[in-house]
Amino acid sequence: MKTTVDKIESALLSARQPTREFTPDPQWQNDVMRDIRRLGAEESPAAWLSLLDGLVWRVAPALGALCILFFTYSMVVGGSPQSDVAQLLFFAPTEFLTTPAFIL
Amino acid sequence: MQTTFQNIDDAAVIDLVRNGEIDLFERLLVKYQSHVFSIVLNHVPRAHAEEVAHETFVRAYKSLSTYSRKSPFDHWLARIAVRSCCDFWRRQKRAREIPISALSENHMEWIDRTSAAESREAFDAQVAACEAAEILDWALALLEPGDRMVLVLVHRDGRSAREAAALLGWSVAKVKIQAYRSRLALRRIIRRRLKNENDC
Repeated sequence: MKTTVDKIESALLSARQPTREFTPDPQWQNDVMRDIRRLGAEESPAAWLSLLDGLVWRVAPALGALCILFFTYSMVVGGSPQSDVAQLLFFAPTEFLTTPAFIL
Repeated sequence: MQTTFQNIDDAAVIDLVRNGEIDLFERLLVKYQSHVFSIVLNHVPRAHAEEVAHETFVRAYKSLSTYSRKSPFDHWLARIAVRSCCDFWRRQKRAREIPISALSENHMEWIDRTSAAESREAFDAQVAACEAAEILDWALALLEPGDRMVLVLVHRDGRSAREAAALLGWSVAKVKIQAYRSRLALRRIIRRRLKNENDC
């Protein structure tokens, strides 16, 4: 059994706008083309920027993944060179003393 | 210059426009303007159709470099037209430029007649009446822009969720949720109207 709300809703959703012919103003096409030409004239930097914009978004996921990878690596390995030097000094003092000679 | 490009297809025109032959865009404009107007008139008032169609073509020109030919050009243009209509309603919502008109005596009579319609013929006559479209416009004006677009595309025009999603640039799940919510919102508006009528 259809309620009043159902009936009205169904009638409204079946309603169609009366089809009347629509003709745009004769000037409309010229106005659109004027804007397009204006955009075309100032296009070169914009096109370059939009290309760059597209490129940035394309490489963004890879860069994000790389950042996470580096962050994880630095958390696991330890990013500070001072701690590496201290470790070397405590656990392999001979290697610590010979390393500068090899580097030089 | 134009005479050398007389017998070329859309794909070639698009390539040439991309390569700087801006004037050739007029061909696409002439060829597809009726297509764009038919979409735009389905969503926005006639008084604003030119403005939204204008915006559609300017956007199409700006995004021409992203057109990948995976779908026909008219489908791609339809998506831009629908999104321009959605943006139009968002702007209207912010600026409140189009006042929400009150329902007239004729509209109230239409609601009464529709509620009382028992036969299929009587119901069809109500659907065909111009008041139906006017009341729908009034109700749509009370909805959020997204709800409005999805209600028209899915529930009035009978498009599938997938089609509506492609046109609006939403996910299918979002369209389904929004279509359900928009219908609830429309029913709320009708119920409130009926309640007000009974109270008077």
